[in-house]
Amino acid sequence: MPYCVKCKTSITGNLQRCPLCQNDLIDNNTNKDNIFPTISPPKHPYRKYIKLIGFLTIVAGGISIIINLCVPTINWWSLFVLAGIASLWLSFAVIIKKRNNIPKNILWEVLVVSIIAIVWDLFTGFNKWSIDYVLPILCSCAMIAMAVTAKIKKLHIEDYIIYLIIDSIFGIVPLILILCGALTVIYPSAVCVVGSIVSLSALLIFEGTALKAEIIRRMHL
Amino acid sequence: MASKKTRRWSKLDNAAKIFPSTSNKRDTKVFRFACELYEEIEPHILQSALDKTIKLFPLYTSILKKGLFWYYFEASDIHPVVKKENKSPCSPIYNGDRKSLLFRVTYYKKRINLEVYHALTDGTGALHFLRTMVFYYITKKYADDFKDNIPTIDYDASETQKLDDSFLKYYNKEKARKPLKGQKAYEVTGERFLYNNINVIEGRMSVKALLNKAHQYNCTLSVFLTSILMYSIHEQMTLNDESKPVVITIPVNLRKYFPSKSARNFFGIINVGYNFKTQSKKLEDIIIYVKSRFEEKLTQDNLYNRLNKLAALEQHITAKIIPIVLKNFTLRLANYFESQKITSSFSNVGKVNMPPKVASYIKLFDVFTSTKKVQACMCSYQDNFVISFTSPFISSDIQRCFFRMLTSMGLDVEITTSISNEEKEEI
Repeated sequence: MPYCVKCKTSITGNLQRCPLCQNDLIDNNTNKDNIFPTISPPKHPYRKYIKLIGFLTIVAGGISIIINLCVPTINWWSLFVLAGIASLWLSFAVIIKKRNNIPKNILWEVLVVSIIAIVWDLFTGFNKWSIDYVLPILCSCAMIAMAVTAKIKKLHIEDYIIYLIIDSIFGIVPLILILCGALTVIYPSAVCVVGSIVSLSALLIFEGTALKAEIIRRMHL
Repeated sequence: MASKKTRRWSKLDNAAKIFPSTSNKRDTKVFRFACELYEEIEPHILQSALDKTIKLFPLYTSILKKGLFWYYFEASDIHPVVKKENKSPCSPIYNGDRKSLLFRVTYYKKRINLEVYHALTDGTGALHFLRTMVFYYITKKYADDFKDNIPTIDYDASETQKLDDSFLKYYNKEKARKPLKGQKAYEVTGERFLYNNINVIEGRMSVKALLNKAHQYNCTLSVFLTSILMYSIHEQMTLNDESKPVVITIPVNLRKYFPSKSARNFFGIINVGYNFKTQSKKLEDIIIYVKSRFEEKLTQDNLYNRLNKLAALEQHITAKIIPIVLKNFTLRLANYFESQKITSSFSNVGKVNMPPKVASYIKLFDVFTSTKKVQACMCSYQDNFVISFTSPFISSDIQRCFFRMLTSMGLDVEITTSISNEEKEEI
């Protein structure tokens, strides 16, 4: 049996040197089985592509700033380019982070893209296109997307009911905006609010027990 | 598709509530129990043993979900599958975005491994599961040897008893007292392995020989080994480091002090600190000191105080109504400050028993856990006492000192490790 003279220990496993003091072992000719397997380092095949694209977008942003400075124009259009790149990366980051859970992913995307749209709107003169169109359309699409995902992946109602509830609540936000008179175009928001109310009612009617049970679970103290 | 029955769910026990908030890739809060037999493991027999065992332990079908105020368990219909070991020991199990079970069963050569996320259960609970699974494996694989004489496993608890939250059972609002403050302890540092890998170094020796030695020093095995661990840590400290105490935290199985058959978490901890600046550096003196601290702290009263204090924290109304996002942040912060008060941890699971008829097919049991520091866990089976060190650090000086002390006292120790020196050079 392999033995370390310095540590005075015998060694199990296919090792060349003592794991404690790294000295050579004597009697190392016996063929021993390893107790633990050799683990290969984790592979991330897509990481290098993402890094490359990230680098290229930074280069593109840098080039646009330089062109903006050199070519005489009235406005800072390069800031739009940079803001666009940042928004895209933010949305992309959310998709990557939540890639394992599609309903959660959809919900986060709705939140992030709505906020990005509102910020863009505010900085470009607040023409209200973000709250008139973007917000209600996103919420409605999210509800449809969740229902479709649930059907395709054959999810149990418990797996996505919470996201459906939250998204329907998002869908009520346009109602508040309508009542405050903050909107210029009402019909997309109206469609969204009605859609939310309909889906919430459907949940209550058809999945009332599951809905109640899920709420008790999530809210327990 | 609507399911007619809603799924069973249960709250986390008091100890478990910390783990989902504070586990991450560096400290996965996963521990492993392994059982080594004398022959290579057959996967399909192991799979059927697992299928039988999980029916007796319905808690293990749970997945972890996030509520508004607390995490909770929900029963799932995921079918656990045994796999050949192919990941780093104690690699992450809980992923908030993925629906998965909180344990994994793997095998490699002659070993069966059970890795459990600590939120699910503690060492004692997991050991029950592993023993039952190994028992079913052996009785099926060597069925010819048993013929009509089928043995029975000795874990006798009803389903409700197993799911019992014993912390809550013993909580007494009237008796909760204020917590004590601690000071910063010496922390081991060094270069770490890549990819958050940890290295496992195991030492196997005779229980009888070890007990003899402990008796020569007039102390218990736990006191003896804790003292040697402190001594080994001190060997790597500089004079400057000595201004901070070496604090070892020792988990205690509360089932020994408060009756409980719970298969969930029910453990407490005691901390023993030693100041190498003001106190003697000799092993004999360390042993005397540690022995007195053990006697002082391992009392039902002291353990009950701590249990009650923690349960009180959880039951307080303000703790309850804080949303989980804030709770996570607070717990992580508290965990960070608490971990600065600890140098290392030493967990003695104790003696593992198996029914006599299957006992001869098993060589040893082994236990270790994930850690950000250097940690030692040990258990014994028949005459095989196994101490496993886990460490994210490339340096193995503490372990070397520890085992050399044992061999210099005349003990025969057999060492094995999970990352060989050749692999160390690549990682």
